[in-house]
Amino acid sequence: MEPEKEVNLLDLIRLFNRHEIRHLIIGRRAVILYGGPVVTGDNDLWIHRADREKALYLLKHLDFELSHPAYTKRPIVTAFSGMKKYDLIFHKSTKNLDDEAIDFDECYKNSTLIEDVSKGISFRVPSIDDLIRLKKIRKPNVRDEQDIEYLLRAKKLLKK
Amino acid sequence: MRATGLDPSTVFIVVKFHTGRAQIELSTPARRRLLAKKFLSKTANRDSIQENGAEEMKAIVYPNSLKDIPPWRRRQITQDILWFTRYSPVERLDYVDREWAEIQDFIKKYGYSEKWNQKKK
Repeated sequence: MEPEKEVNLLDLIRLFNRHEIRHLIIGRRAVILYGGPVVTGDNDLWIHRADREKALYLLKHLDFELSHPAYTKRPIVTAFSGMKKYDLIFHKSTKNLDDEAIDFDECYKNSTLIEDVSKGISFRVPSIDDLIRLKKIRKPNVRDEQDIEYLLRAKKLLKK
Repeated sequence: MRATGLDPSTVFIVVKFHTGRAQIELSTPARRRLLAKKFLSKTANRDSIQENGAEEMKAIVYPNSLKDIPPWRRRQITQDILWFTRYSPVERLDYVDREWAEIQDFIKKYGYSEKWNQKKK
């Protein structure tokens, strides 16, 4: 069934905030929120394991197409709303190539809330250090290298 | 998005986004042509080469601090961030979505795969 209206990232974040679904915006969207002018079509969200069912049933209710049923125990579920694709990650913790453990609860505790007062929305993103650690999960590549460069500079600029 | 000086019929798409660094995605025929012209090393990354692609790609080592980034690049990224943070977070996300849509249109219009699938008249 085609959704009546494509739900964009802002709508989805507003919904998650309203329903108190603990989530973090990760990937390049987080780099953009920190001020890095990078391009992406991905929407990656790391969601607390305990809020998995709440999140998936909410998306189902909103006519999202899910890659797996809402009751799935899979750690990664892809949700589609029209042409928009959202990767939902439910890992409790993960390890990067440097063998550093990255735990959701720890990341959430250290996370930053980026507010846009004019639009009445706030985005929760991991701290820059955690985001850099998350960038090191996969094989080194030019895109992640660029992201890390921006994040290191943004960290310095934010301190000023 | 800005194309570099490379012949667009050779590469699949050239994407340049305000960073001074181009990421070039190659189709297999384009890769073969570049290899034949010795523009590309056989050991270069299969998916992407940097702007001066004649050089063999070095292994990517992520910077641990700003000191690991050359000064010219530091200046570039500082300018980029200062420019981009003039916009609100929502404006930034919208801007990137528009840029993404523009790239997808570019691929649809000039994408190699479509051209190669067309029958010769």
